[in-house]
Amino acid sequence: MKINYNGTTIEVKDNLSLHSFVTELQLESRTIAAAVNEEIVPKKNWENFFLQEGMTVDIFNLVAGG
Amino acid sequence: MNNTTRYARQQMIPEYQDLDKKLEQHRIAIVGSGGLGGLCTYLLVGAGALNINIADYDTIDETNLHRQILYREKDIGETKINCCKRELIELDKRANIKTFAEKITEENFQEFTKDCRLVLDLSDNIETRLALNRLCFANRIDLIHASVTAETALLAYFKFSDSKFIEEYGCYECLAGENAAIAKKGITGPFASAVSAFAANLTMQVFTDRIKEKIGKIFLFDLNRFSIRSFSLNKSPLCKCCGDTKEVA
Ligand SMILES: [Zn+2]
Repeated sequence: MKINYNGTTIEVKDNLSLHSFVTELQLESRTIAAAVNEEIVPKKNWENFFLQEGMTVDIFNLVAGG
Repeated sequence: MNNTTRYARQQMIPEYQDLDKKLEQHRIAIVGSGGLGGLCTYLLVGAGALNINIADYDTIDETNLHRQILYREKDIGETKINCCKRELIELDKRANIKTFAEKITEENFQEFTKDCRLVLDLSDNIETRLALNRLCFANRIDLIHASVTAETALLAYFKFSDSKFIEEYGCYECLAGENAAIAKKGITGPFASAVSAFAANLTMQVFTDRIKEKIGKIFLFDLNRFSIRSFSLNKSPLCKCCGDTKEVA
């Protein structure tokens, strides 16, 4: 299926959880946040959140500086 | 000095006609007086927020000067909050500034936030940010989170005084996770200052009830693209801070 990830359309496998998606991208989950269709998906919900065709996924780095 | 004169230009904005009076009625607790906290506090005192508690236990060093605009070469070695307080009082001698040269923890949080309805998290590390989120949540004190690095910044208002807000939008830990880890990264003066100004603006909007569109959202600033995007916050029932399985505070 196709999803939009950080502004680009990409092909991913079906039944992919947000957690698996992040793992496949080899992102360090402790340093990022994720939103689907402009709604933040809390980190604890990633494993049970399954991506669907056409969804828009935004993953961005958390920042802490000041 | 006549306050009508002092705030004349700000009062020309209809929504801010009584901003200075509204700000003066409150006390604001601000954590951090570095790249974000210094300028943000200065702008707020300038706008009429004369009652401020600030916490910072750092001393000024040379690497601060490129972005922490309240401080000068002659201040190197001095504590940030003492210099910050001095600058604030030079700006407005009526300012009532309480300084806390210590880490804000469970032990001193009550004293730090006495008479405050809002905490500004303008600190510089994830540990402090997670801890402040928990403390503000546990005490149901509203929290503004602003954080910045090279070309990315985050800004959000957590209205913990409102149980409906918590039920729907959760807390910072819902978003970041309890194990969030963020390495120290590069930062510039212009961008830290820009985000300071946005944090000060958001505070002004909180105190003048112009916050409706900002409730339940986190704003992501992307300096490279010159964009500000917003995402809706969501509570996780599994969150260890605000969720249904939360640890006893
Ligand atoms: Zn939470």
